[in-house]
Amino acid sequence: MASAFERHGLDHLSASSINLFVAQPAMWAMQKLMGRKSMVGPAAHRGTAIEAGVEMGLFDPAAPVEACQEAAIARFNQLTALSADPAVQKERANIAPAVAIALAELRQYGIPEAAEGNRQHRIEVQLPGVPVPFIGWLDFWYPAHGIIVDLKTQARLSSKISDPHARQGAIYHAAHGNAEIRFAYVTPQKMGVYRLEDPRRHLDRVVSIAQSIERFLSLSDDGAALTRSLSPDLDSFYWNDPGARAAADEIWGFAPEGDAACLNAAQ
Amino acid sequence: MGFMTPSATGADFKTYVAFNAKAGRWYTKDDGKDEPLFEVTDMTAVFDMPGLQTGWFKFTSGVAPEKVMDPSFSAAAPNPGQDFKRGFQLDLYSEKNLLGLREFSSTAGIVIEAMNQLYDLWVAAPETATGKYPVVRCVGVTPVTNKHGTNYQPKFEIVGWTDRPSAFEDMGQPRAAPTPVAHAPVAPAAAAPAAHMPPPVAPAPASAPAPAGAPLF
Repeated sequence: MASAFERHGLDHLSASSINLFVAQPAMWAMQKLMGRKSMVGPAAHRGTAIEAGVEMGLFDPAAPVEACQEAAIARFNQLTALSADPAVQKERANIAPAVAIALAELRQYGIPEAAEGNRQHRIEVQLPGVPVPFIGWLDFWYPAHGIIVDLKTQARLSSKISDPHARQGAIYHAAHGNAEIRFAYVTPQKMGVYRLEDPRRHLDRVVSIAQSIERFLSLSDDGAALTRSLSPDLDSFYWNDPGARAAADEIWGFAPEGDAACLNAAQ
Repeated sequence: MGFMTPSATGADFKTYVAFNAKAGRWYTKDDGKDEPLFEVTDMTAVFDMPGLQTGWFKFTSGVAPEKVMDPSFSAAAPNPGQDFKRGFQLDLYSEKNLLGLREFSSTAGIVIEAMNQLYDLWVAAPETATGKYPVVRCVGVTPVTNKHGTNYQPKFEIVGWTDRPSAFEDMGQPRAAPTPVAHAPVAPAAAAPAAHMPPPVAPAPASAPAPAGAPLF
């Protein structure tokens, strides 16, 4: 018999998926069960751009920092070309210093190992009690040191690994049991590289969340009905994307005409 | 063999104070050539936090360190080459404990970590915005055991504030005190802050002896 995941067309999970389910279950359902995607904002693009610049500098240690910074900014410009978000300018200014700081720290690790045909390493791991595998991508793997480094960009430096990141690290650790997982948090001013402690404890939480998702999915085979049984927190930054808010209006009927339609349907 | 790369300010070479991470102790010497090192028993001094600089350092036995300083905290200088490590330097001042002005630098990960924590304390302190300088004491050391053996991490506390000592050289435009965080500080986490992990050390070539004058971590 197919699992609840498979009945809803979900053939895998990921760290970002379970973390979204915890933080914003309504958005998770909107994306996974009703196929409605959200656009990310300039902050997310800043992270992608910085990663691109850092990746360039780590795989090519001779590349000047300036070239890596330019590559990062070019990537950011590409991602935000059509964005009217006023935060774009501010986020662009954060990119070059963060690339420099990250490279100054992470180049000391040496050159990461490249995967075949890709720089990031795909991981897939089956966890006991979860019927579908977890899939993810490692940022930087240093097998000579036994260290996996995941790069996170921030405006202000975290003093510790957040729980969502710890869950991500726990999944990596489950896939590479001998590796030490480190999270490299970089801001335009400084950097903190933290080791994930007690990955087993966080992995227990990963499994628990996955099983919560399975129980939720088991309530009905109707993805739309399951989605409408939840309610979005539109005050959250997760819903900043106008497209996401429009989808929320459509699904949950926040617009006046939507409310009337729902009331009519209920009567 | 190189002589010390001139600092960005073109300052003259200063007598240093060093932290021996293997011993967990501080050492300095009197000004003058060939003066012997002595242990600093009370490591309390005015720290020139606005003058703190980061950069690349290469310590070689018997010669002054080679340094390439970053233009700013947010812009690292390019790595000058092999054997250079990331580190910091700043001036310390105490006539009583250090015999005057001393330069403190380190590339040791646990020392950098301790300085990072001190920096955060200094940034957050309301006195910083008034232009006062922190009087800092090393209140103890914490053993850190890893594959390099046991080393000792200094613990810094700000024990007072004072006016800028005249011994701290004028660096042209003095580095401004950082703008205090405008929004609410991050709520303290239930768990202790994570420790910054230094980069892993690559295995040294068998033919390269450890430089005696370099930090022992």
